[in-house]
Amino acid sequence: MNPYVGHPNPLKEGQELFRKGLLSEAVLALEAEVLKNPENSEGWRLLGIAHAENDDDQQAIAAMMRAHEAEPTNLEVLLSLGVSHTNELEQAAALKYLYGWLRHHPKYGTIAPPELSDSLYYADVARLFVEAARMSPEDADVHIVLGVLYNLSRQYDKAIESFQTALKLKPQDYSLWNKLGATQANSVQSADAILAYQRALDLKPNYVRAWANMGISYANQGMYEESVRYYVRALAMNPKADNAWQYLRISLRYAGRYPNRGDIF
Amino acid sequence: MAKKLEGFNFEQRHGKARVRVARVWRSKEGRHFMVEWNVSISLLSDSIIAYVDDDNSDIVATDTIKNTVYAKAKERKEQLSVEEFAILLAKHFTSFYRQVTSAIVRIVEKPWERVSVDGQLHEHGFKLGSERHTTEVTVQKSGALQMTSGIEGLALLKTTKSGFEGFIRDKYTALPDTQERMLATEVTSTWRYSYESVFNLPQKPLYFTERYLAVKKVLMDTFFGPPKEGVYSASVQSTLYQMAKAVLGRFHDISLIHLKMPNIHFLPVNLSSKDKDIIVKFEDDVYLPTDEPHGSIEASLSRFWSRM
Repeated sequence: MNPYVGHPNPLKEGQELFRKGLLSEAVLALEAEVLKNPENSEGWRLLGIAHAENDDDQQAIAAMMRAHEAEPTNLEVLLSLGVSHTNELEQAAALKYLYGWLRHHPKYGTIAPPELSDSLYYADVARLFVEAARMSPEDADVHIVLGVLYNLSRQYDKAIESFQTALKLKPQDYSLWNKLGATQANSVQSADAILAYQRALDLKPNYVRAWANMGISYANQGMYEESVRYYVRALAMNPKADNAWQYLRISLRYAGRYPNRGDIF
Repeated sequence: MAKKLEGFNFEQRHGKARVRVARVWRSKEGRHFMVEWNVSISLLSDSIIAYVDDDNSDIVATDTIKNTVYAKAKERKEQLSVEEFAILLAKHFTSFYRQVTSAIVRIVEKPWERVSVDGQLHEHGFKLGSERHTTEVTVQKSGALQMTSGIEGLALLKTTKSGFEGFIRDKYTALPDTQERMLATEVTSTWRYSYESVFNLPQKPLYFTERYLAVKKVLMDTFFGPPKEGVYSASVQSTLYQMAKAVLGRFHDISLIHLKMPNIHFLPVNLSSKDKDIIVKFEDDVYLPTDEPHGSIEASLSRFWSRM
C-alpha cells in the first residue's frame, strides 16, 4: 500500500523527496499525487523524471505521456520523451517529440514548418536544430536537443561536442553530465565516460541511472568486479531497476573468470 | 572535425592509400616468418593554410607517409600483428608531427599461410589462402584509441541442417518452405575492441593475431556445429545472431561485432523437355550455384547501451 495516499499534499512531498534525492520514495508520493489529480501535468512530469533518474525508461515514458496529454506544449516533457525514446532506440518516436520541442518553443517555433510533422526525416530535423543553435548559441537547451539528435544517428563525436557546449553554459546540470557520459560510453570512450558520470554523481549522489551507467562503463572495460559494486549500489536505491539486475547477472557471470585488465599487461 | 572557414564548414584529411609492403623475419633456427600488408593512412592535421593560402609548410607529404610504412617495417626486429603495426604507425604520425592531431590506419593482410610438405611445416614456403584479416585503428595525439579488426571473404558452406519456413506468404511469393537446403555464405565481419588508449594494451606478443584466429574459430564452429551432428539453422538471420552472440560471450575485450552474411543460393536443378518429362529430377543432389542475385543479411550486436 502506498503510504502517501491520503497525504494532504503529495505533490509538495514528492517535490521535497525528489529534491533530497530519495527517488523511489518520491515516485510513491508522486504516484499518490497523480491518483489524486490525474490532470495535473506537473505531477506526471516529475514522476517521469524520477523514473528516468531511477533508470526506468518504460515507466518514464508512460508517465511523460500522461504529462504530455495534460499539457501538450510543455518543453521539458517533450525533451524527456525524446530522450527516453532515444534510449529505447525508437527513432521515429524520438524524432516526433524532439521536433515537437522545436515547434512549440517560443523562439524557434517560427523556423519549424508545422506540415513537416506528418513526415519527419532525420536530416530535416537535424538541419532545423543546427539553424536554431546558430540563432542562439547561448541557449544550452538547443545544444542539448542537438546532442540527443546526434545520438539518434550515432554521430557521437558531434553529440559529445554539443553536450560539452551545453555544459559550458549549464555546468551544474547533473543530467547533462550523465548524457555526456552515456554518449562517450556508447562511442567506446569508457574512461572519459566515468569522469562525466562522476561529475553527475558529485552533483546528485542518489542518481541511480548514473550509478548503473558507471557499472556498464567498468564492465565494458572488462572490470567486472568494479562494475558489480556500482550495480549493487544502483539496485540498493531502486530494487525495481530491471536493467541493472540484468547487467549485474552478466557481470557476476564474468567476474573472476577473466583477469583484470591490469594483470595481463 | 569541421572548422569554420570563410563562412563555410570545412573538413579535410590527407594520406596515402594502398601502400603495399611485405616483411620477412628470420629466426635463429632458420625459420622464416612473413606478412604482406596493404596499408592505407589518413591524417587529420592542422594544415588549413595549404588549402587556403598556398602554404604547404604544415603538410606531411603523402610520399613521406608511404616511406614511413617501409621504414617502420624495417625498424621492427620481431614479428608483430597487423593491429600492432597499425597502432605503431598511427602513434608515430600523431607524436612525431606537431600538426597531426589524429591518424587513421587501415590495413588488410594478405592470407599467406605456411605450407606443409610431407606432413612437416616448411621453413620458408607459403601459399595463398582465402579469407583476409583486416584492421582499422584511430589514434589521437592524446593517445586515445579506437580499434576494430575484421575478417573478409570467409566463404562457408554446409550441405544440410538448414531450412527456411514460415515467412510472409503473399501473391508474389514463389519460394516454398523447406527444412532441407544448402547454406552458403561469405562472411564479412568487423569487431570493435574495447581498448581505449595506446598506453593500455595487452603486451603479449601477437595477442591480436591470436584473437583474430580465435574469433574466426568461434564464428566457424558456431556456423557448422559439432562435426558429427552439426546444428540446424532456421535462417541466415538466426545463424548470424548465434555467431555474433558466441563472439561477445567468449571475448570480454570485444564490445561490438558486425556481421554481414550474404545468402549465396544453390538452386535445385530440375530439367525437363517437351519430349522427355524429366531429364534431371532434384533429390538434394544437383544444384546450380549462383552468386547473383544473393540475399543480403547483416546485423550488429554490442554490449549494453548507456542511457542518457
